[in-house]
Amino acid sequence: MTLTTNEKSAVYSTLGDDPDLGELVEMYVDEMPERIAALEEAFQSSDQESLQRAAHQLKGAGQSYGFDPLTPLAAAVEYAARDKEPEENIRKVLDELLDVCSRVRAGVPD
Amino acid sequence: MSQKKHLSTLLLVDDDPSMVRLLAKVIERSLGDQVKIETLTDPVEALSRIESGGVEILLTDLEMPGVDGLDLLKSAKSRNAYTQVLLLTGHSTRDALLEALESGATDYLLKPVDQEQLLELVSQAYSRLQRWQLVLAETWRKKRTQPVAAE
Repeated sequence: MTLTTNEKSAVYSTLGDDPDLGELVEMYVDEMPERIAALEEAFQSSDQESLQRAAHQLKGAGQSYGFDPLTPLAAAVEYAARDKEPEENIRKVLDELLDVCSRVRAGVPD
Repeated sequence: MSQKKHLSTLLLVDDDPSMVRLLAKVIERSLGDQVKIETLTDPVEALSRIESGGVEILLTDLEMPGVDGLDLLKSAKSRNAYTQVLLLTGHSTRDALLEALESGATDYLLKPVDQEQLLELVSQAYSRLQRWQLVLAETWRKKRTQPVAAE
């Protein structure tokens, strides 16, 4: 199973070809725009608690769903929000997370 | 004569619906002959479900807003001491983990979840539960069949 993490390339789940779990991965990917919007909205409104919570969920679910790169990036956002780091620090780690979030794909690479 | 196997009731609680869907599917496809899975994403509803009885294995996230996994653990153990409680945790504090241990948690599972480890822990919880239920039933049977002492 290949996990692609190169910049601007799609990020595939290690569970993408699982006969039972592939459908759940697809659902997880379909819901990703809502998660991205929730993270962005929490940041824009300086709602650290919501940002921390949304990042916490991504941290737990990302790698569980086979999207391994999501977990450490989500952890960085969660901890930055929890520690009330300067806005520019949070923006930086959030952008890294959102970049990977926007590239997750269901299925397997061609 | 065939005897229908008793399925233990496993309540899975996580406030992230995507985690609930994934874990329920992983457990159901491998241990569906041992457990009947109920899922909830609202910990307050989970508390009511536990208090209504019949939850034999509780698999719950530890960190949830409002009612957390520790509250569910304490409720489950006070309802039925033999209920097996498995906690899902990311980066819980030492205090929270110690309190979970002291409150009777069976085991814990780190997030992100490793599927093999999840199945191993649920399977162990099922076996432990079966043994407790068997010995308790046997004790109850003996008590009922013992002659009542004459006054």
